[in-house]
Amino acid sequence: MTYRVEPGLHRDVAKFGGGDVTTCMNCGTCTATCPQSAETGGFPRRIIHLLQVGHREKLAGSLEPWLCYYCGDCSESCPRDANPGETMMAARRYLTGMYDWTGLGKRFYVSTWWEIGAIAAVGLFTVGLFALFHGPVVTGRVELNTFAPVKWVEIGDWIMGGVLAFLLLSNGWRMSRWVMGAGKGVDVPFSLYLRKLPAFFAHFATQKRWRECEGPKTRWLKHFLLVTGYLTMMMLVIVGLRWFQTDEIVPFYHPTRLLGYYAAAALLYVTGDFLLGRLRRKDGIHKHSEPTDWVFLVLLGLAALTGILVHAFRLLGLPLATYSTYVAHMAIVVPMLVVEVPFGKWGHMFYRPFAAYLAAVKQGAAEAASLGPSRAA
Amino acid sequence: MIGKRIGAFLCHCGGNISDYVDEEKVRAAVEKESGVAVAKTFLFACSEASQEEMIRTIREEKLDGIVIASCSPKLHLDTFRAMARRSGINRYMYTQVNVREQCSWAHRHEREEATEKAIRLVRAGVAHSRLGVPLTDLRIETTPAALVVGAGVAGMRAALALSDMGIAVYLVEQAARVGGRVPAWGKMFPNDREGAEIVDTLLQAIRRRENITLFTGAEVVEKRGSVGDFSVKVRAADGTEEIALRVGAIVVATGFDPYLPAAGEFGYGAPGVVTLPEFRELLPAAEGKLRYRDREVRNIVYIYCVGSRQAAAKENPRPNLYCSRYCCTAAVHTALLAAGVDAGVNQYHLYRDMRTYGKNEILFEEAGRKGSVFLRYPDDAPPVVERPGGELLVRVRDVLLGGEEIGIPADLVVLVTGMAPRENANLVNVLKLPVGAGGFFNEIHPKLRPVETMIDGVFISGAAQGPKTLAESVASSLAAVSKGAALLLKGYVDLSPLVAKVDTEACAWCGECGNACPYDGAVERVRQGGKEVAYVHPALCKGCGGCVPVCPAEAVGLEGYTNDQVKAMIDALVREIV
Amino acid sequence: MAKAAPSAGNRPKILVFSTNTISDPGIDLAGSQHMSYSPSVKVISVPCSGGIHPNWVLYALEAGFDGVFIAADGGDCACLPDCTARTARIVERAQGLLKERGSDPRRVKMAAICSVCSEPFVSHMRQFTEALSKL
Ligand SMILES: Cc1cc2nc3c(=O)[nH]c(=O)nc-3n(C[C@H](O)[C@H](O)[C@H](O)COP(=O)(O)OP(=O)(O)OC[C@H]3O[C@@H](n4cnc5c(N)ncnc54)[C@H](O)[C@@H]3O)c2cc1C
Ligand code: SF4
Ligand code: SF4
Ligand code: SF4
Repeated sequence: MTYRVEPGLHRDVAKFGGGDVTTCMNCGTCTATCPQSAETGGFPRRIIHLLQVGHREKLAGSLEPWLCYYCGDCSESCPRDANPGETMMAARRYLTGMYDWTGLGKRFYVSTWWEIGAIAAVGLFTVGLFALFHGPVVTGRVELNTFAPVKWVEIGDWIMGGVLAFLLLSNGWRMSRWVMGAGKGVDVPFSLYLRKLPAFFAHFATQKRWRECEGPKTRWLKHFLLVTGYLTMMMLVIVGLRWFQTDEIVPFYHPTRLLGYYAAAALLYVTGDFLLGRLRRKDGIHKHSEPTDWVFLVLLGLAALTGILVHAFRLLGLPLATYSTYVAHMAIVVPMLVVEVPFGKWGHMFYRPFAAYLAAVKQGAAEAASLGPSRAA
Repeated sequence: MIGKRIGAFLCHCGGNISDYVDEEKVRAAVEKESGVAVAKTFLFACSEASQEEMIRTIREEKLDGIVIASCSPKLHLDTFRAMARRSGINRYMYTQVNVREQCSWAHRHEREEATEKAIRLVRAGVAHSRLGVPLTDLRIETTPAALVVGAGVAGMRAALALSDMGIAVYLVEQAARVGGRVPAWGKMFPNDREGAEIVDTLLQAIRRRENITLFTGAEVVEKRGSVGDFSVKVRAADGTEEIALRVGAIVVATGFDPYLPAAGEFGYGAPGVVTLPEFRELLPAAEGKLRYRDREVRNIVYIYCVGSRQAAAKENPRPNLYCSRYCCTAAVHTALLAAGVDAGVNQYHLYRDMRTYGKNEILFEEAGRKGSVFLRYPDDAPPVVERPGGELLVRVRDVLLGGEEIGIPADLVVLVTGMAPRENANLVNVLKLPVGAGGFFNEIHPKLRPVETMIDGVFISGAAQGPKTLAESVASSLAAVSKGAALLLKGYVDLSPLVAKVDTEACAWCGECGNACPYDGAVERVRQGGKEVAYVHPALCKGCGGCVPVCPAEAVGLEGYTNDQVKAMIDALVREIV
Repeated sequence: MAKAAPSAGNRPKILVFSTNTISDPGIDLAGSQHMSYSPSVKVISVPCSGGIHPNWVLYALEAGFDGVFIAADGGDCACLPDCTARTARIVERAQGLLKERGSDPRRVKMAAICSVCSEPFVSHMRQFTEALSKL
């Protein structure tokens, strides 16, 4: 069956940002310069062309947007100034919206007010929970665990984590359906999915493909700091909260303190640096900032800042300041996780390694298919 | 004839010849040739002093003809012919022998043999001059008026330019209105001027000229005479009136026909499938939204190269192989006009190669910026237009998707049709216009003589000559004007007398020469001395010699290259040197 | 008078018919570029190769030439649009006449020589000279 294209798809995608899709003359200079495209030889031109033509099916099944790390080399080389790198970014946003079955993701990308509204609502909801259910307020000394008993907070953490995991996995399931459907005819045994699973974690932890990008390795390094800082924070607050949130002041070298400092320093440094970069619009890739990019960086920076302040106030023995900063911290962290992880830019952290994983599965299946007959012979 | 006194002048060319050829030996040998009255050598035959001395010798020795052995005739034939005339002998009694390019320079290591060859070559030249006859150029007084056929923009512009130079112009247009194709296009690339407005401006200017006579609804039905002095007849289309005109030159600017697809070719004939010209006529009416048959148009698909760059096939044995040049640019420009009406309309361009050459490239880029999508299809798999369930669907193999087929839903399919040669059999017959392989009129040489035809005094211009944009059409029409005016303003044309001539005694009229001659009217059957013989019209003969080899009686010969002359030269070339 | 090269007298005599505006300038160019070919090659130039009489070819061979080479215009001819085809017919007729007289038709040869075809001309001359020596 001939696929019927959707005229004007590029206009839809333009709502998610992106370069001048129809300005592209399909010359392929971008693909030739892209350091990531070497294996597939297709993107970004192919993605742009799919958008121009209106081939939604192929776009939905494509992993290529996730293989791009937005180094911006392509945009620098484009003779038409069509900004292919930005279009790749828009394609990722579009795909995130498409994978998400709730439809909220798309809403948040297309409308900043929806996104800010959702963040505000979840934040206020969090504040409301504390207002209603907080424990006794001890003013003589800092007793955070009395104000917000760790076991309740932990329960809240787990509920939230469960919801997030459910959303991500169900969206990931949708994504894999499209992607694997696009490689028609290749039979993928379930065991292959299991065997390739380590690829997911390797990419998740290191984002190692990024290092293949030309240019300063500092971007990769910053990204690494960001991800590890973020993960450390997640581990501390979700898995290790009972050791982390204590009223006892542990010695300086205690692992929870060291890890906490690392996370706060890394996050503050990187978000500060990125924010400055966007403000100055110095290099090509930071010329275009969508509102979502700002929201994401600001939330992260504030989360790190309030987190370290809670710690500082506690060390200084300022009970009220500690409690209120703690609530503020929660009112930032919770919406950041609830809104940004499944529906926003933090989703990329999941989809990217997931895409690398699916690519590995596909490749494995293709290899098996090409080996199959020869083995039989 | 045997009594002719020939002078042989040998040039050293400052050593270019004498370094490799023993000139003194040549002189001595040639001097002994019968008919040679005097043989001399010169350091530089072309120098002023040498020419003076040659003139003196010609006069003193009462020579009838001369031979100069020097460089290639491409360099100095005219120089020495002019010198011959100054000395008082006929310029066609001069023969140039090429002993430099074709002797001394080509045989630099064989002095002995080169010298022998030079002797033989000069002898052949002497033989040629001895058998030569004095000839005079055929001078034709030119009529200072021109006929321009076709009042499209190319023809109108030609008429004005000729009129500027004081040449009277008869501008003959077949249709009831002037302007040709252009008024139908609305805004035209490259500067968005209205076609109708351009035509109107030209027409106003033509009306103000007293020396331009415009005939509309008229046709050229007869042409006689030759360059500089043609008699033509122009007849009103309804046959009521006929006018005889005399003109010195003719400019043909009869334009083209838009290619008309066959029924079913790319779905042509189905509602919603239109040609580019048809779409251009729809456009000006559109405001705010594009509509076709009362339906809003959201998606337009353009299919390029329809009727151009065709491959031969069973159903199309005479394909249009050429690229129509104008259409890529016209299509992207049309897309810009459509986007100007409704910026939200989706436009797909299915092309083979994008040929928006020169400044038109800007339009191509602009079309992309305004939302046009360009998609390349393979040469051997053109798109297919279908109407499943009443909706138009264009199936096309997308080269960038590895040739995978996609279907594009369309409200309007625009066939970007090329230019076809205009059906003009009568005119071709009347003017004897040479038609090229593609069906357009043919110039003599595409690079060096781009607007002249094999018919002296008849020039071609505009899209009649091959696919052209308007700017290119006008450029070629002005080129035709400058060639035509050069002819007319001089007041006369001198035609070369080196044309075919019939020996009426030997001729028994078999008609072969007439059949072999490609020039209309050059060979005529006449009665002479009680029998029918062939007569070659010196003003119409081009001196190619095509009739010479077909004559069984060896009765036709070209002046300057007669059977006797060639045979005498052959003899002279082989005769032993004693 | 001892010479390394065979004297022109021993080399096959070739008559070339060239054309004023196309092949003759090509032959001139060979000389201008100081390429060399046998001095036993002689050239007569005419307006168009479509105007060469087959009888001239015959006449030249009977008069003492060993071969006749027609340097035709190719597709560039401004005189006769079908000049190449005409020239080919002339060559055929000349070859027919030669056969009738018991001569070898390979003594006539035709090739298109353009106005810058100096090298092709020289190599044609070399080949034709060799071919004629073997006859
Ligand atoms: C759809 C389309 C869009 C175009 N858009 C553009 C554009 O935007 N810009 C641009 O530069 N070019 C454009 N062109 C090209 C342009 O139309 C031509 O370059 C131009 O028309 C050529 O002018 P012409 O005078 O040579 O021929 P024509 O316009 O064809 O005029 C020829 C005239 O000769 C007359 N005629 C023909 N035969 C005879 C005869 N036997 N006796 C007397 N009269 C005769 C005809 O009636 C006609 O009036 C377009 C072409 C097409 C098809
Ligand atoms: S370099 Fe620019 S114009 Fe060329 S294919 Fe890439 S985006 Fe398109
Ligand atoms: S931004 Fe970098 S990685 Fe992404 S497509 Fe462009 S060149 Fe490739
Ligand atoms: S100009 Fe373009 S559309 Fe027209 S024939 Fe040439 S390539 Fe085809």
